[in-house]
Amino acid sequence: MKTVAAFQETMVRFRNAATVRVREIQVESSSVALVLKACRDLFGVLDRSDDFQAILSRRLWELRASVLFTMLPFDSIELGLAGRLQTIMNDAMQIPAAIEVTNILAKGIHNLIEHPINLKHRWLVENPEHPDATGLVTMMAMGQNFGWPSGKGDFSELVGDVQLIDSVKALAAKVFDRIIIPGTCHYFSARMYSEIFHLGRTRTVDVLLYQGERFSMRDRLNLPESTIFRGRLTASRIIHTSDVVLGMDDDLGVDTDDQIKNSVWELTHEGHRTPGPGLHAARYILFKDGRGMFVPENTHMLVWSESNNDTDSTLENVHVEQVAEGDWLAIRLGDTGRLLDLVSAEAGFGKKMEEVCDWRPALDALMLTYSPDQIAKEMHANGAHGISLAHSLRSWADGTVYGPGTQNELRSLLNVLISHRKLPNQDNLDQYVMDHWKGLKELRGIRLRAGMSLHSNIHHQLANALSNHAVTSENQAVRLENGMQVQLCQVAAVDDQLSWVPHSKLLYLQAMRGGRWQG
Amino acid sequence: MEFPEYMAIRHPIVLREEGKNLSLPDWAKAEIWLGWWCRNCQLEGKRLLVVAVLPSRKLSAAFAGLGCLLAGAKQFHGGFTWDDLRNLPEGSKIFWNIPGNHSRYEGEIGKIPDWDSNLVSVLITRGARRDVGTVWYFSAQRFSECLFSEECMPTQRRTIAMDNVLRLHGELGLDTKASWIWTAGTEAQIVTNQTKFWDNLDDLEIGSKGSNPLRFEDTLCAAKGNDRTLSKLRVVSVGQIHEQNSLLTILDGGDSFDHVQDIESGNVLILLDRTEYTMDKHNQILDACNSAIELSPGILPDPPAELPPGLEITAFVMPNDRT
Repeated sequence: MKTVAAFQETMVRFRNAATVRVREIQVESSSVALVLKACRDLFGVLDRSDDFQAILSRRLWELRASVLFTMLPFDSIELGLAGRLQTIMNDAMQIPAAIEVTNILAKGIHNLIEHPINLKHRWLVENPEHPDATGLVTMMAMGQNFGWPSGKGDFSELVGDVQLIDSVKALAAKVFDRIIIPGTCHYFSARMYSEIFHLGRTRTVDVLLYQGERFSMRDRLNLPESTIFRGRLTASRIIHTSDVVLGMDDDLGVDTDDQIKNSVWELTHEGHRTPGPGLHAARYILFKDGRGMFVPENTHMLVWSESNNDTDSTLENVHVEQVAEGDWLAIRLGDTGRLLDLVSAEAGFGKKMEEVCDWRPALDALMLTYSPDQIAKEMHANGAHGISLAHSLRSWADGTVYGPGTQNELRSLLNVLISHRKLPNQDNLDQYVMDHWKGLKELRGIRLRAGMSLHSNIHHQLANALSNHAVTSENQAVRLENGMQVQLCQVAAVDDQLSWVPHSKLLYLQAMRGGRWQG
Repeated sequence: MEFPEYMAIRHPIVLREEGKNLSLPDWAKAEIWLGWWCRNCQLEGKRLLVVAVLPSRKLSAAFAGLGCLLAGAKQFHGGFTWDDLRNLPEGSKIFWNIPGNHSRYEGEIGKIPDWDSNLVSVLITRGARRDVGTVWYFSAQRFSECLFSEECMPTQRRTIAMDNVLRLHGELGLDTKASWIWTAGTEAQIVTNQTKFWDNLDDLEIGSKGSNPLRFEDTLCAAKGNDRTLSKLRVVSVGQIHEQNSLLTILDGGDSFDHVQDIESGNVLILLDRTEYTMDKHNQILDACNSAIELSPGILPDPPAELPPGLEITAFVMPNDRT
């Protein structure tokens, strides 16, 4: 994609990132406050282990999100508050404990419909600073544009020249003076959040909150300090101001949004928020078609960036933590590992692997009587560095990683194996280590080249296969010449928190629990 | 921020983008300095691992690359001499241009002629069609009139651009020898997404205040990908790393970072934007930090006293077998 005025854009981004102003703005509405409180209370009495009440909880979440995040008047047809309330009431009135609070909720919603002026919208209209350089985030949770008319309509009557941001791509298209977020940021992917707050895409972020909503800044990872640069760096600043008064949740020390978000997550995902035996760390990605999958942490995904010019389309390897709302993922259906093996085998990978990893059976044998932690400790004593050696040992033993990443680690591993008599003594240990190290590097080279070749093959064929399509269509499966099928899926949301799931759930694309329920 | 005295840049650098003149902001100065520093600090038996996390790295690798060239030019001594040519073994390939002549020549060193041991014979293998297959005899005088290199000469356009780079160095107050630019060997490689890298430089010009700016792309004296012609910087994709050795490797972006262990020698400068600095990378850098070597003060040139906001940098000195 051709970038216009890259330097001037970068200049603005550095200036913005040096000092970002984040303004929490309280929007006073007693009717909304009443609805929020009723939603919280009703959520509190529902038993989400019961399927019927679980569905009701989801509908309640949806109603709440629609009230919080919309810019439409509360009586608008697109928002459909009356219909949503009616559906909830039909179910909730069958639960004795919920009747009273449901009536309060109904009163609140009716208030909103009778006095439909949306105060977040009114604030927007009354604060028209540089509208053409202002962005408004519309995709607030689970890939949903709450309260926005469906389709690509003309929103100028509603928001003037303000630019709508419904994906990271829309955000990255320009630099803003101001970005308005009509609610909390609980549902933003890590990348979306970073793009808004840390990449200098805007000078000011205005967060509009009703009483009862709570916004909190997320921490950002910092580089470890080095003596060479100590005292010479100038920290970027975030000036965070708030005119928010304590709300009902703050009185209780509770962040309702966070609580409800976690409860809804439990309802809709077949995973856990805490580690457990046999569970793997993963991140959940929800697609716009309502399906989703758990992707192991540290996995890279193929992100397809389409361009009007075929040659400029790219297929990028993106770490799962960086996948964001609006990205198109090329999901490889079937066994690409097999294809990679085939390409690698042509380059003599298997034979080389046997030669250079001849220490693996010895490591397996040692791990029968010693734990990885014990072996790691001995390796450290033998001069190895690294804080995750024990974890690495498992990967080396099961072959998911070919071996140590440094010569020093390899030397200490071989030393430990020799000292336990799992490998024969070596007259010339230096040469023995060097030979194995060179072999490992060649092995990695073969795999790297095979991976690159396969990646370029997929990219080329995907570009060809899509060249006849004016726009990328959701769930389009593309069959490549090598038999592989690739499906393009657009990301609706990415969990910013890790979850833990059994192996069988990893990379398994299926409808979110309960089917497509949002929107 | 001002460039440190040791960089010897005497005159301000200015930029022009889409016809608009712009002064060089502090963050860009800092990135040029960073490339300069990483290339300049060559430690016996050790390597420098530097990581910079930035709000945007769109142009960072280019600025760091430029700084790296300025350092290389300043450190340069020698160059390809008449004696070097005379000492090349028979059959060696040699490349040259004749200023003012549009042809690029390639030839093979032949026997020293019996009648004059002060001449070097070269069989022309590529060049102007009428010359191919003939033998030329070079004297010290003729040698000094040509631009010789042990690497294939770049195209005419790039040759002119490289000449202009020497002019730019001069305008900045640098004392860069002409032989630096024509001597084989690169100062650094940049591992990046090549399309984006070059696109970002498309409309950008750079120069010294009051002089005609050059295309930024040209000032990098760079060869792209598998182009093996003479260059001072190689810009490659991740798939091409394993073929290269370099005094400095600039890994531009998260994708490039993932190949850090494929860099077997030389210093490494990693450039990431803030979204790319994820937990797995953080852990890898902590690992590196744990095996870093303590360095006595004064071994490395001091960084500027105050780097501009937005740049987060860490640096470690590593044993040679680790990155």
